[in-house]
Amino acid sequence: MNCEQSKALMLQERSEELRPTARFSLHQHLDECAACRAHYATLLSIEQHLSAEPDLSPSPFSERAILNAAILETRRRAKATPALRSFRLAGLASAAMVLLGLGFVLGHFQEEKPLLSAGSATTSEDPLRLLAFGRDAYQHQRYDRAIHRLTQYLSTGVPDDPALDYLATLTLARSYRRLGRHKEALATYDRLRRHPGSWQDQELLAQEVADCQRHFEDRLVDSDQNALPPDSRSYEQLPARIYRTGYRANH
Amino acid sequence: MLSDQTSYTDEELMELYIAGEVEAFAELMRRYRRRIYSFLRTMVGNDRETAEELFQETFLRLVRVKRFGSYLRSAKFSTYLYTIARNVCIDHFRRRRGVFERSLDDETVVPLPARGSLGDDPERLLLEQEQRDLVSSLVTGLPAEQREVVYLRLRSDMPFKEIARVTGTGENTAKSRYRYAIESLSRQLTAKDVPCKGDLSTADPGGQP
Repeated sequence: MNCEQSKALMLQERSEELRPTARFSLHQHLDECAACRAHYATLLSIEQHLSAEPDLSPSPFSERAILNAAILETRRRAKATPALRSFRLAGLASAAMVLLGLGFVLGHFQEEKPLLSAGSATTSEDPLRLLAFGRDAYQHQRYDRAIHRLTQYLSTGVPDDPALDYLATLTLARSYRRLGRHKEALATYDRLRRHPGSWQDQELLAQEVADCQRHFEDRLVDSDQNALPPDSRSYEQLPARIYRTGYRANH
Repeated sequence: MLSDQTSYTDEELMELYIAGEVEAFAELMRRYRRRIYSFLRTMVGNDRETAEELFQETFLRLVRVKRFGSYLRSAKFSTYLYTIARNVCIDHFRRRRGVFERSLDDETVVPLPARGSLGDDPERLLLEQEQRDLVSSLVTGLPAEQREVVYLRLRSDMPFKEIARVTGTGENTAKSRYRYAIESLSRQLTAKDVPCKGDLSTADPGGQP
């Protein structure tokens, strides 16, 4: 066995693809070859380094928000279960009727479109659904929709549930930020800062606020420049302003 | 109210949560929060904000699970949860096309250790920490398919069979992805001339047969 073959076998051994006989040959080679032994030790040390890396912790805010969501979901299911049972019984009875009448009705009945498409939420729905829809819209980068749902959630919000309230406010602030509505984003971040349960990683939050502030101030500078009479603008400023306006239009 | 939560298996806890026991869910969170968060941090290239959002999304999906179904009769809860986390990641990458892969040119800034945290032999410990940080930063440069296999194998101690289930591939594919990943890491470490434990400079040049 040469060293190239040995290196290939080492990798196969680490990925548990090596047969016992080949393994024996590999270790025989390793006993004789210091260079391969050193290479093998490098592979082992990579694995050791990675497996010894400590796990990271999420922010307590996230955990709290998730646990509160679990509590709400359990309550919702407990309420829904008796209604669901009676609905199933009614469903069985009506199924027989439907089957009898199906042939008669077929061809004469046009199904009405639902007023709301699947997945939409109304204010009468439980707040957790509103929050879920809001977050879902945010995840799908539909920030306008996210703002709509989350504002609904916060106006009808769950009482005594600061963690979920905080989650909704944070997602709302980020939605505004992603849309470039920095003034509203800053106001929403400000609400977060005064929130009783400030569990989110403060450093991360400060970065987001600073980023927002910077964009907001940029915009103020731009609008100030636009307010100047044309002859007071220098030529050097024009390309930058055009670039900035274009950038904003795209984002 | 659960008497001793630690005596339950993950699968039992999940069944209890579906039956309406919130404390069972809290115990599952305690068991998996760090592992899942670290997995997500690895997958999104150490982006804290995104990892935090994906972490929330993963567990909120778990909150909404209504039935455990046939999946867990043949697989472990950890496999199930990592599969959710992975799907959340894939959804995220699909939404933000182009950020899935991370270039190796994007050097990760490695934070210095805190003063007084290095013990009796600061030089050796510092070197070890530097090596560990370097290896971690190289992992973020691997293709996502290799990164997840490396994480699941080394950080979660998952057998390749389970990794294959999480990643929705065959066992042999999982193994070969792991092999490519380790090969790539060792090649990069050697190229960077890092004095790892298996540094070639310590080898006997005459030892080659």
